[in-house]
Amino acid sequence: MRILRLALPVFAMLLPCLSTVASAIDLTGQSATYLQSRQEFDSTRLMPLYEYLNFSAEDLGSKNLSFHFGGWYRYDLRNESFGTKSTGDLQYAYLGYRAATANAFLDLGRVVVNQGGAIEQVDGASAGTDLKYGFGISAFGGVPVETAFDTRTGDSVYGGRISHEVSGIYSIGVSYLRERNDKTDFRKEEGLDLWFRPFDKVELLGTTLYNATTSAVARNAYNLILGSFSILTLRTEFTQIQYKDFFTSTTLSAFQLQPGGPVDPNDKLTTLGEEASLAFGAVAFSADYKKYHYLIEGNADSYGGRLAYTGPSGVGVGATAHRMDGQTDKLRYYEYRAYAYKTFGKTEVAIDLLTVTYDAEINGVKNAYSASLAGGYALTPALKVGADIEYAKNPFFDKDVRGLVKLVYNFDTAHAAQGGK
Amino acid sequence: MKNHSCKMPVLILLAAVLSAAILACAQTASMATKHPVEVEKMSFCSDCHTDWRSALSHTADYGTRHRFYASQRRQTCLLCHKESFCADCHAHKEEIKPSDKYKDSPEMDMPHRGDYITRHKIDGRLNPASCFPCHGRQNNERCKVCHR
Repeated sequence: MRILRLALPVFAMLLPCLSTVASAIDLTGQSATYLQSRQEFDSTRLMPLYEYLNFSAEDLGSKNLSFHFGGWYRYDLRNESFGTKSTGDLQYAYLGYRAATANAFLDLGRVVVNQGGAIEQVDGASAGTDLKYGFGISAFGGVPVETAFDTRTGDSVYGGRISHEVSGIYSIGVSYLRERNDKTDFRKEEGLDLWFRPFDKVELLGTTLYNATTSAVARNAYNLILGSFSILTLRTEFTQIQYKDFFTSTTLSAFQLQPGGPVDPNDKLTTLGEEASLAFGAVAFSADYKKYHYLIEGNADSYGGRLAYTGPSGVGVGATAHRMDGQTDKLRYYEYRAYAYKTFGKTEVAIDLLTVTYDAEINGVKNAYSASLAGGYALTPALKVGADIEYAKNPFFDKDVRGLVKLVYNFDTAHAAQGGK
Repeated sequence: MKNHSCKMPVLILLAAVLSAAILACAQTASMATKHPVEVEKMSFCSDCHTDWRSALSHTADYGTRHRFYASQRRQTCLLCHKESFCADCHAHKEEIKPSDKYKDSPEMDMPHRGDYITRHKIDGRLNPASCFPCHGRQNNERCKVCHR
């Protein structure tokens, strides 16, 4: 954390100088500085200053070698957020090797693992390669990056995935994960992941998670997508979750379900949902419905729709309406949202309105709302300044006013187009 | 000693699998690390691709199913997205909601808009498993303020 505290602000200040160097070493990335003003439940006004920095250095002596970094640091200018004056996080930092053949890769450092059922952050290594005849293999290992509830000594996580693929038809994988805390088993999981497209416009995809500690299937989650047929796409969603097998290893007390608590650990949830999406050129409309069926609790439903228009030259509007219809009035609400945005040359403006109506009063409030106005100006193609203000009333605040000012600098002007906005 | 004798066969097996994997590596060219054409707006892969890649089009419902593709085809995601794009939401530790960072992009599908503190009590009761992937083992330090 000390390294982050020193390195992030210094690196952020050096960024303008580095832009010339960047072209030589193929460095791309972004520095985003946020100054937020908000209040706590007890009306204490907070002013946290955040620096988010990410970069990728490619072609490090070899076209196959690269380094990727992402992290943030916060310092409070007024009072303390979440009980600390300053904190930060190393999101990822790894040296990556990509081979010219077989999609072989090796990442070393703080890596993000996506290997079928294993989706983890690990201080260690992740590697994989395609094999002959459509097979593939990958593995990872290291120390898990999770919320600490004791020391990291004796903690480890490792696993891997074996897959088979017929390009364009299916990809199926089986994965394994074992996590140990203080040298004792914390988690043992097996996974099945599937993507199956037997015909054009028919796609089945999903995962099954098996808890090897309790010897039971913890979760099935599958989607069937039909389309698009001209303007229509249909998505059917099915999930099944066995609570006592799903919530077995957590670092948060809310998921340590207890008999007699608000959520019964012996319950089993099955959801079945349908979403129909229609696209008419720049206009998109979708309607969705989901049924929640419980083994112990009564049933619930959620349904709604959304409409969006995305016009040329940076203009767009949209609206959504959703109903959450739980078993009792305390578990029911309507949510409505409308937004619009427009770009005028170097200036952009956005407005967002959200209102929630609860069936039962919460802290004496049935109708909650928030309204925000945001604006941005591109000082240069790489440097943008922005600000927003939000006004809200909800069960926790009679009047909540919060604001944010940001300065975003891209080392590479193409970055914004690649998901960096 | 007993532990060591148990681990040895496993290590030998792992080494054998690794060796076999290296020997059996496909000799096909790896996929590109960057999309050959810069994708400037919301990606509709079907605009250009008519094969299976058209399924990756970022339609309105893509946010709810992107995890399945990412778990199998992370390298495909990284063709257009930087790692930081994923980290905006999928974080070990985060204090600013993505919807607060990007109020200037209201069209983006982002979780927990507005006062989600109140709504999470309802959503979490009806489907606690929807919270778990992001907050079960990480990114829950803010949750611990109340859930001690």
